[in-house]
Amino acid sequence: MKREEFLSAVRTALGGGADAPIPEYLPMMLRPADQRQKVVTIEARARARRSQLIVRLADMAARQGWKAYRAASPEDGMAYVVALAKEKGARSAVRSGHEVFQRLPLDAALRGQGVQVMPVALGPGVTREQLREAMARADLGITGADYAIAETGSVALLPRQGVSRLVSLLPPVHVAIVEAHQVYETLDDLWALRRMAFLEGNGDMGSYLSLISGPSRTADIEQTLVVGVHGPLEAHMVIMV
Amino acid sequence: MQPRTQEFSKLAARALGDTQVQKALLGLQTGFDQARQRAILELTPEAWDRLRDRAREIRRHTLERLDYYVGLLADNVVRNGGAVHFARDAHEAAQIVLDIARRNGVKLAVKGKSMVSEEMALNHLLAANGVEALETDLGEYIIQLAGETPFHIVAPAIHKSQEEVAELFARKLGTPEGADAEALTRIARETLRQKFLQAGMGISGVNFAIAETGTVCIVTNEGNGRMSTSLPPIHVALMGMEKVTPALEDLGVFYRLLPRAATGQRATSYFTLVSGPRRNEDEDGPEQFHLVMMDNGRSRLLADPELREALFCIRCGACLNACPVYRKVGGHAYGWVYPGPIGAVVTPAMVGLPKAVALPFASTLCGACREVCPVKINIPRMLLKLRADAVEGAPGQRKASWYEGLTFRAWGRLMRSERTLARARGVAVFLQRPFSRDGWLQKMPLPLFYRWTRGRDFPTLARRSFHELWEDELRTSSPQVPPLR
Amino acid sequence: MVRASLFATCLVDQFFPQVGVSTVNLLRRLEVQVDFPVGQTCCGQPAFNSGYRSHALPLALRWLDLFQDSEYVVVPSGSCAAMLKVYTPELLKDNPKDAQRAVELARRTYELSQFLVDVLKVTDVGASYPARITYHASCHLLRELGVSSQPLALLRGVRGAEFAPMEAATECCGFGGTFAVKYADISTAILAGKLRAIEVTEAEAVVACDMGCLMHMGGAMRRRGMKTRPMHLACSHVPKSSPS
Repeated sequence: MKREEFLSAVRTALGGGADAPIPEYLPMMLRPADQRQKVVTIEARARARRSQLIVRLADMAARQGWKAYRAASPEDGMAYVVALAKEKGARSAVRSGHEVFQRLPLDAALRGQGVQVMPVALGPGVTREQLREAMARADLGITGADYAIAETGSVALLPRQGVSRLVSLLPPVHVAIVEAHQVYETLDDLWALRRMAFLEGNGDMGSYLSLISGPSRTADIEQTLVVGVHGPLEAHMVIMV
Repeated sequence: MQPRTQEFSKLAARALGDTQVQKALLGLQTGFDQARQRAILELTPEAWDRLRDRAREIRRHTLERLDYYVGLLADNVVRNGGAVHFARDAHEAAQIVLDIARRNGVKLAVKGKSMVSEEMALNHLLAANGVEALETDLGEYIIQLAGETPFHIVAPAIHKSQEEVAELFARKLGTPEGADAEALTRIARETLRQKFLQAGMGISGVNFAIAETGTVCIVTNEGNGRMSTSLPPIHVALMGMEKVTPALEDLGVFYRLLPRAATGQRATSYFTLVSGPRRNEDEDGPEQFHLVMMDNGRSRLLADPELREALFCIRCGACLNACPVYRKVGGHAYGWVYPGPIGAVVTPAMVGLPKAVALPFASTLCGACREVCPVKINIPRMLLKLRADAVEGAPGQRKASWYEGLTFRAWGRLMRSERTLARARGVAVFLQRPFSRDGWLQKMPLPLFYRWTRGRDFPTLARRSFHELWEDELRTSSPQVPPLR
Repeated sequence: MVRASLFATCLVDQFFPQVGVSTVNLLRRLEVQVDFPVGQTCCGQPAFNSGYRSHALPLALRWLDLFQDSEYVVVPSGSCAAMLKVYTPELLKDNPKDAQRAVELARRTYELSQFLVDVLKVTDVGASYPARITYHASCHLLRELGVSSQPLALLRGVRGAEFAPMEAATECCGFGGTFAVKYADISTAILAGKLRAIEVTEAEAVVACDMGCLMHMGGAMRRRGMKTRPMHLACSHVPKSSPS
């Protein structure tokens, strides 16, 4: 069916014509400057309350089924991941290209324990198939975060160059490293921030957003909760305080 | 899927006699419904109510100009690099998906949960044309293996016991018998993991679609939604056209309502926003993104001011869990894709009222559905409207029994004249006498009433009506005890 | 003095006139001047709920005519009161004049417990009923009229009564008017759960504000030989000294 036919059937059902004015909807009417103002307020509020937000994030994350850990220092955070790899008997890990890993020598720390670490990034001689295979085999998937939301104990990831959709999905254990400045209060904050990105990106906010609020789970058989279905069986959130 | 809506009574009777189904239905009360109540308490009932009202405003606004928002969504999906397809009905929609599969030589498609795809009977069409379509939501996977249809909107296989699922898996997949829920889940994980990696196409439903950004949003817990939208080279998203919402900010309302109303969750494990295919520089993701927007009777609901509200539905299933009738007859009795109170409203628009006439009548009108609905849809009022349409509506809509029509005509005549009523009453009081046991009838061999007395006694008419008592005693009498004040 | 007209409902008129008698006595005891417009029959709900709006319409008009001069209309039934208050104005919407009359009369129409508590502002009517009782919240009373606390307040005021709350008291009993006949087996299957909840309370009487639900529950309780009996709220408020 043609688009125009389809829309005209809808118009007929509504009893209106094609010349009806564009409806006014407030959230869509905020121009970039207004949206910017909104985001500035959100940022300021989050900054002012960051330490409380981190406590809340850790609490809600735990309630959502994450293993949440508040790391006192970068070393402490890395030690947590290394200990986890050891506990899991992990031989291989894949990690995203999030910026945090430029500051955090986690690869070296893991390799020091005999864990093979593969940053997931296309490059000369690296194909998508190779990356996918590595991710499907890996014992550990390590990512940073693009946002963390205290309200729901969530991490939001924006897959893009250097950030695969699959690092947080295929391996049986996902570790998300959250930095303090990424923590926001509510889901509303997240949507406002993403709309800003949409406006700044000239109508492109990237292809994907994964809001992750715990390990994969199901209750499809007799409403019995089983953690670990198609996604990770375990999800760890390491918050760098 | 051929509608079996005309077999409601038969299918309901089957469910009533099925002890496993009855056990599972009882579990919905203690499971989902109580979880929903706890989640609302945590958020506070006041905040919950504000969200519901806000959701109604958004839905009302959107539907009033659905043409505009559907068009805007389509424009923005295209701008994101996706393709948009429009389907008048389920058949056309399924054909579109098949064409995409054929064009790309797809042999295997992995599917996330999608009720719209059930409307389309998509799996059958694809299979008949050499494309294997595999359900990957655990519940959907189970019922696909069993060759059944969803029993519940959010928990399709909830009617099956763990033992039944274990037996099914053993038979179909050759896995060990006696596996528990966790072991069965792991089996599904292992089996389907390979399929995800091999599939040429991923098919998903759509919970919300953002017009301004051209984004489809998918709510899942298992991770299959992420898999099917990340691994295969083609992603096809299927949506009923009413799922569009104007702005990203609306998710602040809908993504707070849906998980709580559906399963009592604060947030599901995953909430996935897809804005077109992968960008060139992305590490992974599908090369093609297709959005199929389907009408399939929705414009009929849209056109009727008394039924339009049915399109507010966010498919949480809360009305099923709260409905005394659904809790007894389950999802299969309704004979089509959408069961329960909301199913009784939308099914007639999709399969035609005459075929689905049993559904709007299969309700006690208790209002529990409206009470729990996260968008406060006034379902009882719509059921009443559909009942009136079936009895006194347009000729093409009508489907009333002549027998019932006669009964109501006779009843109407009696009730319009207290004299006729009094005379008829005199006769009936005389006739009932030999059957009365202390003011109750145990068997009423009369049409309609025999059904009542199958499980209950029926009261006899009082010897004297209240009219008579009033005239004889009460009209002039004073209070029998002194007043209080 | 408050004047109120009784809309007895067809079930009370034909099957359970004692509920009407109790209602009249109760209201008179509270110094309400009660009248009963003769010629009233039914609110039309059975026809309306079954889709036969054309048969409900004359009854709606009858209500308008018979009660047009009433100061208050009191209805000892949640669902009939809901029919009159909520649905009748809609039923008459094609005739704006009648619809307007209906809206105005609906405003003066009350279900019994609502009238006692919200209009007369009484919760203790001096009733005494020394027995264990439980309460079923009828759906239309609760969800169409939003009446939830009033009947409970009145029951708390009954001397000697021991109140045993019922599990899931707000869940439907499965009556649903013609549903109880049309889908009799589903109706009684729903009822089975309600009966279990009643049984657990070990109450002598299950009180409700609607003879529809009570006829349905009572008929099954009798069939099963349960000791609990159905009781309309008006009857649980029979003053001690009056003959039952």
